[in-house]
Amino acid sequence: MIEFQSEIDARGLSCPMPVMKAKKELKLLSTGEVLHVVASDPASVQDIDILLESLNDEMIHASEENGEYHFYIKKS
Amino acid sequence: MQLEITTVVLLLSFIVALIMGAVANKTNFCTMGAVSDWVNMGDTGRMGAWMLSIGVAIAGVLLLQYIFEIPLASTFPPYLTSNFGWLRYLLGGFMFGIGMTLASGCGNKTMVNIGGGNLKSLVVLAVAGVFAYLMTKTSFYELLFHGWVSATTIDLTAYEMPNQSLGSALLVVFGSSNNELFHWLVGLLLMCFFFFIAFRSKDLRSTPHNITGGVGIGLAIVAGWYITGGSLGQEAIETVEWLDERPVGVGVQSYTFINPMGETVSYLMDPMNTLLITFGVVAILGVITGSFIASIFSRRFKFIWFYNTEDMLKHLIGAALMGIGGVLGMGCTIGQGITGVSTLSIGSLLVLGSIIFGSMLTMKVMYYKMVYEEASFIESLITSLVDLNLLTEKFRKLEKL
Repeated sequence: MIEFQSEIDARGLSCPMPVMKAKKELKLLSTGEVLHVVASDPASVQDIDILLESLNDEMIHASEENGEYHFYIKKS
Repeated sequence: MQLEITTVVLLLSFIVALIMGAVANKTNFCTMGAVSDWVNMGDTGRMGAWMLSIGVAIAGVLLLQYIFEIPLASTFPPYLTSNFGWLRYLLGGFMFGIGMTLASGCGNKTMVNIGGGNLKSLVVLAVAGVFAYLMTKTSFYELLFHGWVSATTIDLTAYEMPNQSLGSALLVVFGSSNNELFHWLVGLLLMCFFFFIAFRSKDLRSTPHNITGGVGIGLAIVAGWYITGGSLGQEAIETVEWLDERPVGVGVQSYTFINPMGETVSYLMDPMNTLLITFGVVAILGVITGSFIASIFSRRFKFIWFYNTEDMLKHLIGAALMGIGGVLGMGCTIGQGITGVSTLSIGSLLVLGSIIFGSMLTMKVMYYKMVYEEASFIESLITSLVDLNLLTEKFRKLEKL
């Protein structure tokens, strides 16, 4: 079980909403804190990757369970 | 069994659309996503793919004109018409840009999403299709738009411009009579410009799937022009002229998605009438099928439905704006943004710019509203306009994000 300090439920939301929500939340976190994003839009996999590249934040774990995508992002 | 020539044209158009849908699905080619990546994350990979597809389409069309003399002066829709409806292009493109952002994708992406199991996009297709139908087949356009569109349309022949191609504009500016020379010169320059914009992006250069997407979609547009405007297409047009009962929408054209949504609604209202099966209808069916196949093979097919009422409302409003704006601007991000621009039409370039602006502005407003929950729509809008350098910093209402 990965510990996280903040969570976004973006299930049911389509591009560009999940990534916009994640970007907003990451701005509020302090360095080292972890954000858990759960999304259902397949496009969010690529979108979150691009977001992390642009923010220089780190994906510590990503998985798919029952059609839901879970991303654990560590704020740099 | 010998197929009628119009059926052969439709079959080939379907096959190309199918490949287009599969490519868009596999490479995640998305014009709204391109704007989103750029505005929200500063990533230009997908924007580069879009620009690359335009460059490829221009190169292909120039080649087709050189080899097959494809008649771009009489296309469907008339991208190079001498009636320059600048306001309809600007407003239509702007509305479409807002619409596609709210509805989670442009016309092409809507079809790709449907193929992937997204039922929200199926609703978007239905609603945008109904509005496109209203705009093209009823008095809706006449009542709301015709008056001011006519009043603001400029007849370019009065300025000795035969049509609205960039070459014609330069012809007048430089007072030359060598139309051919200017056409080729402008075409080659515009092609180089889009290739330069595309490959200047490191994000594009470092992502082979984006390059594949851009080249694939650009080639599909060229293939559409070749099928309908080459020898086969020309023969089909001539054959249809002799028929008592003519199929709808036969002409030189390539892929576009909003007017075809209206044509699909029209066909579904009378499904036994095969004369209503147009290039646009098979294009829509082809992209959905191609995307569906790609989704199944990549095991990404998944049914998606609205998250809540707000999500549904957002998509419905977006779809209505796409249907109206797409017809008013005579095309979408693919129809005007790639197909139209490949004819070197000034109107298409205007629509392309308006769509991108409408989408960027909508994304910025949405983001400000999301971060500053207490901020009003007007405050978010004004601040977004400041961000886009359309208002000075003194107007800023919210702290820059």
